[in-house]
Order: sequence, then structure tokens, then C-alpha cells
Amino acid sequence: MKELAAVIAVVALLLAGVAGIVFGLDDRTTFVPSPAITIQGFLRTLSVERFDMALSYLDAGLESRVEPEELRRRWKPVQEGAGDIINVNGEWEVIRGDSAIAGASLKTADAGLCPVTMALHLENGVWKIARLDGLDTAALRLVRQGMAGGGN
Amino acid sequence: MELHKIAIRVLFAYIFLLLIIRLSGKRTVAEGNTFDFVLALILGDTVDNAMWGEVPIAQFIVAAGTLVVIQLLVSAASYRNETLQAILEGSPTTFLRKGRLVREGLRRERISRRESEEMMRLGGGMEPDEWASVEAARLEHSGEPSVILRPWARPAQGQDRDALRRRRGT
Repeated sequence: MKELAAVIAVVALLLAGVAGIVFGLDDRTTFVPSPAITIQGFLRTLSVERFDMALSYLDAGLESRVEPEELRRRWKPVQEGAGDIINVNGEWEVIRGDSAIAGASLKTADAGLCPVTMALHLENGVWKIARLDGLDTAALRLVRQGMAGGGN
Repeated sequence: MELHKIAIRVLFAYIFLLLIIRLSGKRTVAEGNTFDFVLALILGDTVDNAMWGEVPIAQFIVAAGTLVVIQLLVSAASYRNETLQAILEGSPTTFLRKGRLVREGLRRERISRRESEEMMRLGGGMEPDEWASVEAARLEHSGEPSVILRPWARPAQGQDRDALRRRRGT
């Protein structure tokens, strides 16, 4: 089948081209999700409680150590402090070589906007989350905000 | 989000889809059957993710390419096997025969009387008082109505002229 061969050839050719752009030209934000978009996806996945799927956002080292149950445990205080999460937006990122810090904000029903900051690093051309302490910081901020008497 | 990066991704996705859809033949964009419709729907969703940079472009290429390859294989298989074609594309439903609505067909496709009137207008440009000239009206697997006229209502053809001449002995 000529058409089949042609489609497969185009797919292979473009994959090679994209690999060249990502690995050869060091593209880190155009043809791969940027750090801010990565944590946005991660937080959205957590907000719908797909902890198993959220593991795919973690780097290989973290993914091998963390179980979905741990993600649930770390997310719970954020969820409880924030109430219903209306939206998650990746907002900013600072890239230094193969490392990045990115920030997203949770738009919540009870606590207004809640910022979350996370560290990432580049793994096989894709940004992956390197540490989960950003979730704990966000939870702590929400607790303090709750004790102070409401959202911003 | 940097706007020029969105533009680059959109341009890339557009060129890629144009290439593979063009190479896979006209059937891919015909939306002629359920599978074509599903393909268009899923492709639309994958483009959306790629456009906003939510998935790596490589994943988008593999997902869209695989979908088009599956579509090509399925359409090739259904071309060779009529049973498979009937399963994938369904069969036409007759909803009007010899000028009368077929209740069974209407029920099967959940077509109201008003909708059947609309379909007859779309398929044959006919109002209910003209339905007597219809041999059969069908809802094709593409979702479009088709109308077959009774022999006496069909426009005259060359063979009719010949038959008339023979009858007259001219």
C-alpha cells in the first residue's frame, strides 16, 4: 500500500526532524512542554485525583521512589486547604541549563489564588518534576492563610 | 506563554496534518462513516494538546500518525471484506417506500415525521404531496438522505425516446 508507506515515511521523517530540534538545537519550550506547562499538567492531574497518571510527570529517580499513595497523602492538605479547585494555570518559569523552577497558581473556591512552585530538570529532552516539596509549601501557605482568616 | 511559540506549533501541526491527510487519500477527510468521524474528532483533540504545548510534539506526531495508519488499514480491510464494511459503516436505512413512511426505519434511526420531511427536502427537494413519486428514500451511512424516484417519475432518458420511437414505428 503506497499511502501507508508514505504516511509512515512522513511520520519517521518528522520525528527525526523534531529530535534534531530538541536534542541538536536544545529546544526546551517550543516542541516540548515548558516547565510551567509541565507543572500545570501535574497539578491538574492531581486535582482530578489521577495519582497514578501524575507519576509520569516525575523524573525517573522520583518516580521509582514515590507511590500514587504518597502523592495522594501530599496532595490532601493542599486540596483540603484550597477547597474546590476551579482552574490551574502555569504562570512562570526560570530555566538554567537542564534545571528549572516553575510556578503555577491554583484558582480555588475557598482560598482564592494559591501559588505552587516546583523544581524540574530536563530528562531525555522532556521537563520532569525533580522535587515534591512545592506541594508541602503550598499546603503550609494554605493553612496559614486559613488561620489568618480567608483567601486573597 | 510566548505567542510566537504557539504560532510555530500551530504551523508545524498544520503542515504535518496536511501532509499525512493528503498522502492517506481523499477518504480520510470524507467523514463518510462513523470511523472517519471518530478519526476527525480525535485528531482535533490531539492538535489542541499540541497547539498549547501540553504534550511533546513527538507524541503528537506518533498519535496522529498512528490514527491515520489505523484508518488506512481499516479502510483497506473493509474494502476487501463486505461484512467488516457493514459492521464499520452500517447499512442504509429505508425510511420511505413507495410514497409512504416506513415506521420501522424511522424508529431505528429515531427520525421524527418532521425530520423525515426535512430529509426529503434535502435529498430530493420534495414536499409531502410529491412523495407518491418516490420509490424509496434512504438514510445513507454518511447520514445523508438519498431519494430514488419511481420509474414513471424519473426524467426522460435517451432510451425512453428510443422506446417511444419504436412504439410509434418511426
